[in-house]
Amino acid sequence: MPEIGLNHFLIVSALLFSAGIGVVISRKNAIAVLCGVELILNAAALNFVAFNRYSTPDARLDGQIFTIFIIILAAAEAAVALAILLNLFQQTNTVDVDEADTMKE
Amino acid sequence: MDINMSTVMFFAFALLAVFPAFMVLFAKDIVRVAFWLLASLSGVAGLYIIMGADFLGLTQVLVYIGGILVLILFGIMMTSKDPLLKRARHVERSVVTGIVTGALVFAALAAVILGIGFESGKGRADGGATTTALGEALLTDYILPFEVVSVLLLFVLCGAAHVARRRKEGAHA
Amino acid sequence: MPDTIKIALLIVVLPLAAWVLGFAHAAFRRRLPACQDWISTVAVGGSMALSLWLFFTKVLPGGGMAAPEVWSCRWFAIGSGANAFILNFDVMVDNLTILMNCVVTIVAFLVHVYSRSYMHDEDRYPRFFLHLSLFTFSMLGLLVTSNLMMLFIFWELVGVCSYFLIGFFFLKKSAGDASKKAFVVNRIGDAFFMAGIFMIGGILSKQWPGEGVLSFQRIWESIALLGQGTGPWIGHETEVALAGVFIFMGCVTKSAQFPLHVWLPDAMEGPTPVSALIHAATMVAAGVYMVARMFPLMAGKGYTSGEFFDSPALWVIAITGGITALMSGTIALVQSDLKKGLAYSTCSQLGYMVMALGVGSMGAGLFHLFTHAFFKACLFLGSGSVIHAVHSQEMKDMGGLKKKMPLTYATFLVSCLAIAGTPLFSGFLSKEAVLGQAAAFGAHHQGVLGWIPFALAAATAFLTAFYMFRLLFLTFHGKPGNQHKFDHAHESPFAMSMPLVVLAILAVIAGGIALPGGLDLGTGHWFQDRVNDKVLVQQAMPESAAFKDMQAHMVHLHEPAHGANAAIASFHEHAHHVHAPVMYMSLAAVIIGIGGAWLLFVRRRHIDLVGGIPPLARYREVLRNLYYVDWFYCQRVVPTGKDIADLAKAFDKHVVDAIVNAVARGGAHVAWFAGRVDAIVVDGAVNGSGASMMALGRFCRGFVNGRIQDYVKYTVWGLGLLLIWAVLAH
Repeated sequence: MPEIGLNHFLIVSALLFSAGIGVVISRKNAIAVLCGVELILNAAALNFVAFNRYSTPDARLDGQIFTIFIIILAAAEAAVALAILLNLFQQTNTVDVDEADTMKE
Repeated sequence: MDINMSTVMFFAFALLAVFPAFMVLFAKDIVRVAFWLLASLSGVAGLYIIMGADFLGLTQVLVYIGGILVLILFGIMMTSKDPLLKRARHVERSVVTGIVTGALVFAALAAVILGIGFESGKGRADGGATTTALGEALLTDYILPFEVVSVLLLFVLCGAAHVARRRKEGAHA
Repeated sequence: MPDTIKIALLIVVLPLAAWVLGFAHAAFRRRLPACQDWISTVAVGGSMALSLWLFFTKVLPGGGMAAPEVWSCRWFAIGSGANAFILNFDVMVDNLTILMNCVVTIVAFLVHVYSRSYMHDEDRYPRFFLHLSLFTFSMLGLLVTSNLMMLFIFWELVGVCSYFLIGFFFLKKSAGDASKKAFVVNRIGDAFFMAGIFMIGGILSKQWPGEGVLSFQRIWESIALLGQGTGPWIGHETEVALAGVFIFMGCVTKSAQFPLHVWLPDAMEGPTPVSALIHAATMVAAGVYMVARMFPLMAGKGYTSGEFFDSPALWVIAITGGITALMSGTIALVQSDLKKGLAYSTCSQLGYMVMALGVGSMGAGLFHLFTHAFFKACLFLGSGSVIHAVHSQEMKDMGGLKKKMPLTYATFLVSCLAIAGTPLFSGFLSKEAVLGQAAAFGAHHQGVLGWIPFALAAATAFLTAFYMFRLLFLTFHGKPGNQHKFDHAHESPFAMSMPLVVLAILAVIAGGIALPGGLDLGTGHWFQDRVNDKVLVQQAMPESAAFKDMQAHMVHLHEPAHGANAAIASFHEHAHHVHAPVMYMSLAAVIIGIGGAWLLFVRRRHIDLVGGIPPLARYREVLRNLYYVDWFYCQRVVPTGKDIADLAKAFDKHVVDAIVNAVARGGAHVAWFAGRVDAIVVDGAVNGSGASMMALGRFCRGFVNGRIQDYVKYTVWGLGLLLIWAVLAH
């Protein structure tokens, strides 16, 4: 078995991404969809960290900085998404994304 | 076979990240989904630490597990009529679609990754703790994005609070 | 346009103006003018004055008009070039026209005057005069035209006026039926008449193109040429006879000849003045007039040479006339209705005229027509006066009216004497002329067949005197049949008696126009001098070279002194010889007829003929049933016609309709097939393209279902496939 390298992390990242995509597409519950989005973001963030670890010359931390921003954005996204979700729930009494297919009530 | 500690750790954390991620896909109960997500994010945090991104790993745990997941759990509690006792009312969308799509995406990504064949360069292998460096970088090179993100967070919180507010009876958006 | 023509046209136009005036008033004011009677009477009075003026200036002096005045203008042409069928407006005025104009206008004027009193209390009084004006116009137009097509038009016009006037009391069913009967029966003859016109027009226009195909002059000229062995009829000799018979069929209906006389007695449903004017004096005489005008055609090839006594058309005419005369005379014996009795008498007298034409004596026929018009009109108006007094047409309601209505009686008596042929009355001269010609015809033929017309005419002469005096005696003599009606009877007012007197006077003196030539019928007869030769080919087309040539050889029919032709000479020789016996026989007929009637109906007061002469009883029913002619029509002809109609209907239904239906069904099948092609192929293509678009739309719509997850799915699929392709491609 070769030494653990960049590709290993990338494959893991790809798996997480695939799982996230699958969740986003197949779940009906909006919160579950949100979870899928988190998975996708994590996959992306993992890629950044991995490339920063294995491909960045010198000792720069640009990838990690990006990851920090991703985490921040993820938090913001989660907050806004849940706020919207609550609103949706107030309006339709459900969190089924299929129910939320009208632009306006 | 040269089995070192880092390899074991990688596979352990990789498994911890990937398996729950798929359970997120397959689990029926939304609460379980949240907790499988917790596990998966934890695995990712471990992977960060393996890669020497100690600050990020901790941040992952704090923000995701301590913040976002709690947020998600609150969302579940506020939207599910009986989240603990009953399963999701609705039959889930075809999981097969999700699996097929995921497989397709994975095949594409794997094809790209393996097709390109990224070199595992030296990188910053043993950079030590990164907190200092990150803090300097954030306050020097990345000061502007940092500030923008701060303002963004502020707006997001305000906006979220506004959107999620309970409306008056009969009033419409 | 010569002055004579202008005046003749004015005579025609005046009654038309009266009609137009009334009609325009009715069109604009929705009702006829109240003074329509005055308008019509004045108009026809003007016509009468002009006619009399023409008579006194043109016909009376000298030998009458030497040649006809002719005027024509182009009416229309069918086709062009040498084969064009050119029809003209032809107007011709000759002695005969003027004489007939006088007869028509005098009788019409007197009838107008009479009607002003007789019809005064009737509904639709102004309309009656409107019809009378139209009739007078049509009748005068018929007389002045010299063109078969135009004559036919006026012929139909008088027919339709007759229809209007017979059915004037159209609220009465019998009147309506009678008018329809008259109209329908006349159509039969008119169809033949038209066929004859077409035959002549067709042959002449093809064989002999030129102006005025159907004008009298041209027809006469063509016959003249035939006599010389040239012209358009060569090779068509049969058609000459056939056309003559066909045209005579028009006369058979219009002049009520056997076997199509059935409409005339029924026509008595019309007002009595109408019977006098139309069904006694003028319209029914139009058939005789027309045959006289077409006499050369009837005579055929032998006309110019004078050897026409064997012409088949003339034989048909003579026999038809003779049968009609005798048959109608016998029917008149048993009629109980005064007007019907007069109607059969009219039939009988018309038969006389027709027979006279048939035996080749146009002059005698027309002379009888001329005199008959007056005394028959007088008889009808007199009967109208009686009917007016007793309010009945049945003779059983009359009787003894002599004292109550002396003037009517006197005029009636004069007219009866005239029609019976008593010497010194006009009927004597005319009837004797007819009988004499018929006898000459028989002598000329020197066979039993040749005597048939004379036998029929002689028998009729006895009958005429007998039945006319039967009518007279039953009406005016004896005891009143109905005391109540008798008590209320009274002499008619002046407006009604004045025309009677005038007509009675004319009935006496009208024959006088024959007198200047003396009673010798063979030569120098006034009427025949003016009418016979002058209307004939001799003067017809003076500019024609053929005529000039022919004129040199022309035999003057009534101048046997020329002796140019053996047949004519022989005929006149016979006429001369039979003259005296015929006159004696005629006198005997009058005496026996009147005496018999007097014995039976005055002395023995029989109403019914049979009561008087028992041997006749077995024939009574035959006579009462009018020789079963009407019965035959109703029971045999009409059902046969209906059978034919049913047959035609069946043919129509089963053959024509079947073909039509088969065609339609075939069409329906084709249409069905086309429909299926349309539905399956065309619509299939259209619908298929539509449906495929729909399916595509439905398919595409599936992607755009508003579900964000599906969008993501498709995006990811696309992206994934792109990536795989990109990698594999490198």
